[in-house]
Amino acid sequence: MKYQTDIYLDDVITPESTPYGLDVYLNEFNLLGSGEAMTLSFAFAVRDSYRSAGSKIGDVIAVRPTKWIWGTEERKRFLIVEINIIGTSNTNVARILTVPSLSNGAFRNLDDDDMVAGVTVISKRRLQFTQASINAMAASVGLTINWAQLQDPMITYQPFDGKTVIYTSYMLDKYLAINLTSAQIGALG
Amino acid sequence: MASSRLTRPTTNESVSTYGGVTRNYTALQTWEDATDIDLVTATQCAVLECYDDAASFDDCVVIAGATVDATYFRVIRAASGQGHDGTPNNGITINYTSIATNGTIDSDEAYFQLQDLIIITTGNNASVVTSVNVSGASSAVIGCIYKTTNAGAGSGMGIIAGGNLTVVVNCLAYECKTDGQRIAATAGITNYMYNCTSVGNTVNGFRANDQTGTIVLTNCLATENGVDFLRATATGTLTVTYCCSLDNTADDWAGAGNLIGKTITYTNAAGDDWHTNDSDINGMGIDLSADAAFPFNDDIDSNTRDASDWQIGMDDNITLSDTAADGLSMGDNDITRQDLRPVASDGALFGETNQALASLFALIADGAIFGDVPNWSATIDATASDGIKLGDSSGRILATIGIAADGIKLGDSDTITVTLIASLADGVKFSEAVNPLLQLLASVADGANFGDVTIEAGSLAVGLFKITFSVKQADIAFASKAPDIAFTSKAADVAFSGSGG
Repeated sequence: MKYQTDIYLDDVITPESTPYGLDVYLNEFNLLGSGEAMTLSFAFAVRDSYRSAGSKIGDVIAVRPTKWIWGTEERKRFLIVEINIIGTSNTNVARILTVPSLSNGAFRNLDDDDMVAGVTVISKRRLQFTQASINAMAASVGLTINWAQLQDPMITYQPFDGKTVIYTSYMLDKYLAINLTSAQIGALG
Repeated sequence: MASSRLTRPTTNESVSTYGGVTRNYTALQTWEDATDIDLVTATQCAVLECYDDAASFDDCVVIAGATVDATYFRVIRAASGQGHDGTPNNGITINYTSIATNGTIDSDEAYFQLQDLIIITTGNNASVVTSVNVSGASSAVIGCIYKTTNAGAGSGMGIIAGGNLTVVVNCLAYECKTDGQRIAATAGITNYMYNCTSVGNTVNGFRANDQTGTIVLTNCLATENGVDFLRATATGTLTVTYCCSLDNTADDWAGAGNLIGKTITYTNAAGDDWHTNDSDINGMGIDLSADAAFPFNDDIDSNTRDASDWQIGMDDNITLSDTAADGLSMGDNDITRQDLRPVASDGALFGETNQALASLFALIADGAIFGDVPNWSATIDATASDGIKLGDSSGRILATIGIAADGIKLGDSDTITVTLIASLADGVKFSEAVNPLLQLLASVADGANFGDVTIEAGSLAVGLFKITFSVKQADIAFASKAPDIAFTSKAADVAFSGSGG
């Protein structure tokens, strides 16, 4: 079996080495991904971590190509949703969407220089589909989520199986406290 | 001594699987999040065992946040039989093709271990790109192979190891865009690289970087790099010992045992096989099996190193040629000395290793006489204590015959006696052997009549009766002291007498 290695395009440079707020970031990359669409398979956290900086319900834990077949434990422990994000074709977002929220606002992973400089991880994930957003996504495709079943790691309950959600500003940037449009997400790549 | 994979034995392992769709996880990051818990309170080691279900996996992970200690921590390792063969050509491979920075496998967590994976990173980035980045205290990277390219303007390094008391052991970095293996140590901390190999990296093979603390490089091999060994900052303490370079850099810090200007012949460099048995480095390392920081005794292939012949670099290649001095002709069998050693000196049972059994058969098939090998006695002991019957193997029967043919008396060895008894139990007739005593015992054991055996004059005691007899050709007389015994004979020339009363 060949895993999909072509979903992450490598034709852009990201500002990894400089602390960027999302606004600066978007200004630099606003030419990317306009007018196209891409469906991705998201794995969301379904419960809050035991620690304050850990993952929260709806955090974007992992992103894979559409129709991805997740593992047995993944289907028990995470909510899997296929989401079509209009305006986004650059699949580098798959990496970007799982960055932590850093104390300096940099939109990237913590690196060694950060650690020396005293930068800390505020939250394990910067981007989140809040529980309300997830319920709204479910409603958009005619579903009602049973959260008790969803949060039971002993069973497989995936209410979005067979559904594709059209993205409409569901995703929260915790650091900037704004919900991102599909165009803004596309610019992240 | 211990395997580097077991130097920090994991306790209460909670093992999950990674790989194709039949496994628990298909994304490293989901496993990371699922195990981002208080492992100390849970008294668990979270272990992810990776399966070679695909040519490679386009994946990455950041390990951070779990509550850990020296007993309970997280491990990513190749599942048994799924790891590499010491080359990047086979085994579980993470090949991350995106814009990885800071590490395709990136851990900021203490005690994290990464074992026996191939990590390739082929991104396009203006910044730092690494395949492995470990910065948590007491982390260990063991038996891994990494290669990092970067089509962008940024760097491409195999590994960056920081933290404190971090160890990198038996690892290979090859053909990286910049540095193969970079190690850093800030003030007050110490980090180690032991028996690693860096080959063909564009800038540096090994680079001591950001150093105000202590860095220890021991038994490391670097060839064909831009600079084989480089110290980026001349502060702190850098100890380089028993290392080898193709250029003249390995001894730049005046440590003991360093070799420079050595052209190393690898098994198949063009095919990315960096194993070697080059005489320049074979036996030139220092034994680390009792090292204070990280004792270990194996190599990248998990083969046991020869403590008296410790090799520099990731590989410790022990070959059959080492046994040639014993006069054994085993050239038709690809068996290493390590295969024989458990049989000879460890007292291991044959059942513990098919290779060892194969080795034994190879010896027999070669016609070797047991007496030629001092360990044959141990071999027979192993046979007896294993409960293996001789009849299980024609080779073992040959072995017994071999002992007899050497003129060894049964009384010389309890082991041999046990062996013979085992033969009887198997129904093997001793008449197949040449020893007359064995033949006689065989006659009895096989149910043969005594009449088959020539008996001279004498007496037999049977219960209360004592029967005496004499033989004078046809003149045979029997006598009995029992009153109720009568003898009859149809032969005219046989007389009986009784004296019972």
